[in-house]
Order: sequence, then structure tokens, then C-alpha cells
Amino acid sequence: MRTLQTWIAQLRGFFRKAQMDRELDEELASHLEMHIADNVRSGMTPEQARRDALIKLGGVEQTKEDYRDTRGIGWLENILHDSRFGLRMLRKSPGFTVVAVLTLALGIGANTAIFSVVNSVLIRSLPFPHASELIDISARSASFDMPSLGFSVPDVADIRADSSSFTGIATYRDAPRELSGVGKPERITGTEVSEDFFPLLGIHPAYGRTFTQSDMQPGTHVAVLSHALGQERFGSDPSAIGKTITLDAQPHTIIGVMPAQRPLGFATDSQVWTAFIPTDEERTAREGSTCWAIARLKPGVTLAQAQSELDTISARLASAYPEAHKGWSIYASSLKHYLFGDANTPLTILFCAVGFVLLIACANVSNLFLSRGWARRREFAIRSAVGATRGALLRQLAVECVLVALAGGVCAFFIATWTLGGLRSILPPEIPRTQDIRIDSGVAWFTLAASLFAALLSGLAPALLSTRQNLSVAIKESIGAPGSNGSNGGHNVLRQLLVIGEVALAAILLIGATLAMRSFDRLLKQNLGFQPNHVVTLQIEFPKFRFANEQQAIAFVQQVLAGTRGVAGVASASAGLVFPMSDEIAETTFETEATATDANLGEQPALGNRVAPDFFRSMGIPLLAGRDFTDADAKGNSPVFIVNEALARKYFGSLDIIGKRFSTRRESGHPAWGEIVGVAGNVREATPHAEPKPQIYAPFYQTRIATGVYLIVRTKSDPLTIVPALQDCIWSVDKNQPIIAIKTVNAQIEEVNATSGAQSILLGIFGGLGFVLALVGVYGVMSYLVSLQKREIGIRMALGADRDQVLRSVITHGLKLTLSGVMIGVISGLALTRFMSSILFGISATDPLTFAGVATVLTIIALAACYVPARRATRVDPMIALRYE
Amino acid sequence: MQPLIQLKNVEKSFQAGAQKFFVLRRISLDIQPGEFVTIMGPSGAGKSTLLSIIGMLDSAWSGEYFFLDQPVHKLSTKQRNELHKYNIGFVFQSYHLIDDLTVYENLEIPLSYKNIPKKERASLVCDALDRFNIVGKKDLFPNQLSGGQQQLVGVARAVIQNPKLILADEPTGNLHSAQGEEIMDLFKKLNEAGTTIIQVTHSEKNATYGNRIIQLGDGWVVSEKTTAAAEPAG
Repeated sequence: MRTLQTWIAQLRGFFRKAQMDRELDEELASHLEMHIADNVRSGMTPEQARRDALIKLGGVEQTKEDYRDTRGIGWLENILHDSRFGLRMLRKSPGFTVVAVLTLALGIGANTAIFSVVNSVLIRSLPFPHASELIDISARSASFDMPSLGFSVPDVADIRADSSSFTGIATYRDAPRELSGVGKPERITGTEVSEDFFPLLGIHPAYGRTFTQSDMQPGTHVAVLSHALGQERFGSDPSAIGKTITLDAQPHTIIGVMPAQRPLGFATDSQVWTAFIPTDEERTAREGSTCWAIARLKPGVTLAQAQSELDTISARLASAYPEAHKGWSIYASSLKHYLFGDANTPLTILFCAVGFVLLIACANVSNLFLSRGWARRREFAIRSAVGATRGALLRQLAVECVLVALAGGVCAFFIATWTLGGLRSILPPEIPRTQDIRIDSGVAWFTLAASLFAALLSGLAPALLSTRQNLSVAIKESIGAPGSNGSNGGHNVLRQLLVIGEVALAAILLIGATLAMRSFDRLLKQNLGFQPNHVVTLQIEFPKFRFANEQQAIAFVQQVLAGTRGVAGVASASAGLVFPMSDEIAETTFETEATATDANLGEQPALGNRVAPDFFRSMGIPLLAGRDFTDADAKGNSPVFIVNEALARKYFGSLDIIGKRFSTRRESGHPAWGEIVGVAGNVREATPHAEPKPQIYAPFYQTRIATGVYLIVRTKSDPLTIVPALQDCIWSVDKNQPIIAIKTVNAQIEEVNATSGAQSILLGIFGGLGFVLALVGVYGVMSYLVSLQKREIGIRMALGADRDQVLRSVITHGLKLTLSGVMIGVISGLALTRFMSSILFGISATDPLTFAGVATVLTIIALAACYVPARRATRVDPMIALRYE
Repeated sequence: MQPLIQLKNVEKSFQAGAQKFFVLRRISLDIQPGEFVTIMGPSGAGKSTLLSIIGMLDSAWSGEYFFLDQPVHKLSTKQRNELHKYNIGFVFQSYHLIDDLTVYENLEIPLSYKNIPKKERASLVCDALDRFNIVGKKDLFPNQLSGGQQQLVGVARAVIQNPKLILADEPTGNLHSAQGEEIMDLFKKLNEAGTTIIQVTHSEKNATYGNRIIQLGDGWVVSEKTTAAAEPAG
């Protein structure tokens, strides 16, 4: 309590200095007068009385000083005093201040910008109450090369019944809808959700309600609208509740409107939600991936405990349903990790890169502080001589460092704010919530912390060195006595270590950036197995309300293709469930006569596709043997297949397989045999990285399920110029048929490669920034060393050194520092770049050419940076040695 | 006899705005091999400038300068440097030893700028250490030596390459009298052994070690007198 009172008194004293000084003066004057009066009364002369009174008081000024020491907050006053002096010193050296502040601003700014992304994507929690309890539950299967699979309805029912770790499990599935009623039918995003979906997430409607058990009955048509759709269709009017909207030609009653949600790349982003009502078949079928599941952990239950329980359940289901669940397992992960986990690696790499940039910037500023400390050694010596402790000197330097770093931090904050838009546009597309990236208080605190860290990093060692000196030598030296033999050896060693460090960091950055850029280059040059130029795709879907069965869809496609082939400028046209690099893949299983008779093999996994005639010509995929599909390969005729070269070689050992028996489905427990009619070339189906896998093409006209296709049109010139004619072809068959997306294959490939492109651009930017800062550092240090060595160079020249020898000596010195840094950078790079392996394509993380190339280029350019100071050294006037006399 | 140094109408000036300031005016001198010349004069008289011109450290002057009969005024920088490197040794008032090098390494500096093999360099340095009685100090750094010891190393460094000419600028200026005498005795011995010495000094006493005194004032040669202290080598 007493401490608190003292503090309050000190704080009051700090802010009322002038008034308290006045009061003190008056009080002391009154005491003095009283003492004098007493002394005069006791018989002293006025002079004696005054002298005696002053002695009794112990000296007026000393008394004032003692009082002032206890009155205020000494350390705060000292810091304020140091800050004022520091600001004056920084104003006095505007060159130093601007360079140091800008250098730190670049380093901190890069970190702030990337932190704003990390903060939005990885750190900020999901916008749901107790979001850490939310988990995703997915399946995985050895038969399918997918990171996660959904569940069948009975599987979810079993997991619900057998688990005790969750307060609830909700299901959902994509259900895009056709919204009609006003103007042309519009395709909107939609999700079917179970009744507990919104309660489990903990989000409540802005108006109305969400789903209940009674909405989950077949024949019930209710919908919940997103905030945006509600506003677009009904304004912000709660009276929307109870009105109807037409989805897939079916009127739905609006039961709720959700509040605005930040986009997450999740089911909560949909424009409309409808009830998840499984069909009778879905209620019993164990095969297939009908829905996705999320759950909320019970309080106190960990993810590991939940996973352990799910392991038991998956083992039981796998043994109970071996046909459907062969090699099957259930995985739980936090919902946040499920949604944003993919962003971890690229963001970690980017954060490391900007961290290196900050370290390089700190090394540069540290060098500046070193030089400044050396230049101010006389000031420190004089301060020490008049009573400053080393602590006081350190405090003064620390305050200056913090002022510079804070100024850098403020500039960095603005740099990050201004560059945020640009950063958003070049961030890898796999990074979610990019529109959510903003500069908020978290980012501001980070910037402050980064600034203080930068101040500590760049200022500590120079401050310690600058305040560790021999007083008399320092004063003598700085006065200008040249033969005094003082040495700034400690400064120079640190300065050179800093250069080595920053060259090493720049080498690591450049190696990383070069690997990313070369990887991207290889990606662009990768032979994808097809000809993407002059091909445009139009995505159309076959919703049940419009296409009652697959025959209607097939007929629609046939009519559209017939029209399309007649459009001027069309070279060929076809359709496929997917197309190479379409961001979607279809998987299937197959049997050959050999695998069907081998109990150990059975059904084998492969990529699949159903395509119309002319697909291979339209995509530019070579047919290596046999024939293409024809219109005759239709329903009712025997199944036919075209397989790719990888499948032919792996399972048949040759391409000579036309006429071989082949099956992709079973009937009554036996393969439904068809015939291979062709062998196509391998294509990169999903990404340019992945090696071609066995793939099966079946005729679209023999399909049993048709939910949508891509029309694939090869044109003779720019494909986008005939898109209107292609749209007319579709609408001439059905004027209400929505076209989901129109895109050239080249544009699609660009999107697929965008992540690598963005990574290489960002790493290139940060690598370049680090490189430039490191070169500035090398140049600065070499220049400073030359300026310090002027006297020595003068002596050497007076003793016979010629200019070439001086040039060589300076460059050799720079070369030694650079090579040491490059060597450390290369060795560290070998250890660090392996973390980049997952984002590299076609190039090893330890690619010798990249390492050697970066080392060489860095060395050559660093030498060029040394050349300017070296040339300056050769212009040192040898008379300088005499002039010191 | 062919003079070692011959200066004809050497002048040095610098421009300050519209005005031209002369540091040296019409200096004409002959210095014979084996002479011990003292240049004296008040501060600003041009003594050190004259020394640096003779030492070929300064090339911005006019007039004619012959060194060993070679026209220095017509030589390229490289040629001057060669001439200087092989014939001239410097001794400075502030010793100008390099702080971060040991005594041994300081002595090695002038040799390192000539094509002398390392072994031979080592032998020359050891000879010098022995000759100047500083073997025990060879691994010390300049800041571990007294002023006199540092100047001893400075002189040793100047003579290690066996120059024809030693230029000494106030060689005892930073030393106390006993140390100063030691150094001057050393110069005297070197001169007696045939080395030409030109010293700049304010000290009348030091001037007595030489055989000729050149008095400078405002850049002009004010007077010249020969003393009997030493005779030029024949």
C-alpha cells in the first residue's frame, strides 16, 4: 500500500514539476528566513546569521537536489531526457537516420505484411464460439489417392452411435442450385446440411430459424439464405421469412437468413442452405462418399482421445463391411487445420524469408550504429569522465536504437498497409481468407514487437562495444592524435562478422528464391501430354429437375456437340466429365483378366473419365493404338475402353492390347467385361507435378450417371472469340441451361500453376530485397573500412605500395568476407532448403547448379560492391601520412 | 659528381577561388649522395611539402626534378612509384606503424611491395631486428612499445630495404631528449655508412647532426649553409 502511495506521489511529482519547484523554493526561503531571524535574535550579525542558517540547512541547492531525487520517477525522467537528446542527435545526422530508418522499415515492413497474412490465415481463430473444439472427420482409403473422403449416411450414423467424444456430429454436402424466377436462371452455391449443422457451429440466424428435425422429412422444401442473397433478393427485410424462392425449379420456403460471414472456403460460404435429406438408397448404401462430417469435442476431450475412439470405430466398420471399407480409416483434425492446413508450408517459407530479410536489415543497421559509436567515442569518453556510468551510456544508446527502430516500425506499418492490396493479389491461391487479410491491432502489436526486436538486435552489440573503452586513449584518439595506437579491433571484428552473416543470409534467401523460380520455370515447360492451346471449356450441369435421367443428358450433349461442330472456327468438339488440369479428377477401379483371377490383386485403382467422341483430338492427346470412341459406342452396345499408356504398360506390359477384356464394374459379384479399343498417351491429369497414373476413358454415351460435363472445343484461332457462338449452341438446345464456367485450358493451367508462380514471385521479391540489402551492407562496410584505413593505406603507399596492390588488398579483404558468408550460406542452405522440397517441382532442394550459380553470382556482385571502395582506396593521397604530423 | 637529387624551379600552389596560393616557390637544389641535409623553417614554410615532393608522394607540382639522373617530372605514376619503392625510405614524426601488425610484420611491409621471396624477406627482417637490437620486441604490437622503441622500429622499417635516401619528418618530435638523441645517433651512423638523409626539423640541435641546413620561409629557400658535422661521401 505504501509502495502504491509512493508511486502515486512520484507520478504526481513527475507531472507537476514546475509547481512543486515553486513550492519548494518558497518553503526553503521561508525556512531560511526563520533561521536567520532566530540567529539575529540570538545576537548574530545579519551576515553571520545568514551563513549559519545556510550551514544548518545543508545548502539550499543540495537540499533541492535531494528532494527532487525522491520527488519524481527518476528512471522515467532519465529516459525522457535521453529521448530528447537522442532525437537531437538523430536530427543532427539526417543521412544516418534516414538510411537506418528506411533499412529497418523495409525489413520490418516485409515481416509486418507477411504477418498480416499469417495472422488472418493461421492465427486468427475461426469465427465460431469455442472454435478450438470444432473438428473435421474424414475418411481415407488405400484404394483412392485422395487426402480425404466423405462418408456414407449409415457410416455417419454408426460413428454417432458409437462415439462418446463429441457433443454432436453434423453432416453436409455441396448442393449448388439453380435459382430461377427473376431473369435468366442463375447458378448459386448451396449446401445441404443436417439439422444440427448450425447449432454445432454455434451460429444463429439473423432472422428466422435454422433447420429442425421436422425439416428433414422427404418432401419438405425449406431454405436458409445467406446474408448476401437475402439482401440481394429481399433487402434487409425480416419479412423474407415465409416467402418462397425457386431452387432447381422447386419452390422453397425461406425459414431463415444468416448473418454476414467471413469467407472460409467452407460450407458456411454458401448462398443458400437446404435440408440434407438422403435418398432411400443413400440411407442404406455403405459405398460412396455421400456427405462430409464435422463434430464438436466435448469439453475436456482432446483430439488424440477422439482419434483413438475413431480408430476403434473404423476398425469395427472395416471388419463389418470389408467390401465397402477395404483399407479404410477415419481421421479427425481440427476444423481450422482442415480448412487452412495447406497454407502452413507456403506461409512458413515466406515468413522465414522475410525473417531473413529483417536479420539482414538489422545487420546493416548494426553496422551503421557501430560506425556511429566509433565516431562518437570521444563524446562517450567525456561523458564517462564527468561521471556517466556504463549503464547510463548504454541506456542513452539503447534509447537512440529504439527511436530509430520505432521510426522504422511506423514506416513499416505504412509500407505494409500500402502493399497489402498488391500482396493479396499475388498470394498463392491455396492461401484462404486472403480478402480477410487486414492490418489490425494484432498486426500493430507485432510491428511494435518486431521494432523492439530489431532495436535489440541491431543496437545491443554496438552499444556494448562503444561503451567499452579506455577513457584516456579514446579522448586522445578522437582529438586527432594519430600515433596514439588505439584500435577499434572489436568494432571491426563485429562489423566483419555482420557482413559475413548477412551475405550468408542473402545466399540462403537467394538459393531459396532461385529454387522456387527454377521450379516454376520447369513447371511451365513441363510436357503435360496434351496440347492446351486454342482449347476452351464450357461447364454445364445436369440437375435432376431438368434432366430426369442420363439419357436426356446424353441426348443434350449430342445435340450441343452437333451444333458446335458446325460453328465456324471450330476444329473439333467433344465433352468429358473432367479434362486434364481441370482441378477435378475422377477415380475408378478396374479389373483385367489377370487381376480378376489373382485373389491378391482384385480391383485396381485408376483415374477415370467418361468422354464423348473426338475428346482426344480436341484435347490434343495422341492415340497410340486402336481407335477413338464413336457415336456407336452408346448404351446397349458392349462396354468399350481406351486406357492410357501407363496402364497398358503396368498391367499388360505392352501397347498391343486392343481387344483385351477389361472391366470397371461388377454385376452380381462378377466383372462386367468390356473391351479395350484404344491406347492413349499419358497426360498429367491433376497437376504438372504428378507423374502420369494409369487412366481409363469410357464413352460418355454409355454412362449410367450424368451430373455434368465440360464441353471441350478446339478452335482454329483465339477460342474466346467464338464463345458467344458456343453459348448460342447450348441455348439453342435449352434456352434455360446455365453455363457454370467458361475458361480456356491455358487459363486453367495458369490457375493450377498460380501457387508456384506466386511463391516464386514472393520469394523472388524477398530474395531480391535481402540481396540488395546485403550488397548495401558489403559496400557500406568496405567503404567504412577503407575510410578507417586511410592512414594505413597512406603509410603503405609511402612505404612503396602501388595502387594496384592497394586495390588488390581491399578487394581481397572483401572477397574473404564474401566467400566466408557464401560458404556459410551454402552449407546452411543445404540444411534449410529441404523444407522446401514439398513446393519444388523437377528440381532437387539441393540442386548443385542453383547453389553454385547463386554462390558465383553473389560473389561476383559482392566483389563489384567492393570495387567502388577499393577504387577509392587507391585514390588515398600518401601525403595523408605526412599531413598527420 | 652526379647529384642524387636535382630540383630546378620547383613550385607548388593551390587554387582557392580566384586566388592562387603558393606553398613552394622556385626551389632549386642539388643534393649529393651521402649528404645529411636538414630542412628548417617556421610552420607553414613548406618543409613537409618539399619532403613529400622529394619522396615522390606528391606529383602535383611544376618544375624539374631529377633523381639519380632520371627526370621525375616526366615519369608516369607507376615509374615514380618504382623509383620511390627501391630508393627511398621514410621516417615519420608519429612513427606511423600499423597498429594491427606486430613489429616483425611492420618491418616486412616495405619488402612485401617488392618481389622479394618470403624466405629472403624473413632474413632481411631478422637482420634488421638484430641490427637495431629489437629482436625481443618482434612479436609485440606498436601499442606495447614506448615512443622511442616505436621510432626505432620506424627507422628500421625505413632502412630495411637499404634505400639510397632516407626522408625523416620531425623524427624526434614525439620523443623525449634521450630517445631523440638515440635516434639522431642512429641517423648519423646510417649517414656515415653512405645513406643520404634529408630531415625536416625545428630542432637546432638535431640540425647539427647534418652537414647542410636549408632554411625555408613562405615557400622560398631563404638561406643555405653548410656545417662541418659531416662530409659528403666521396
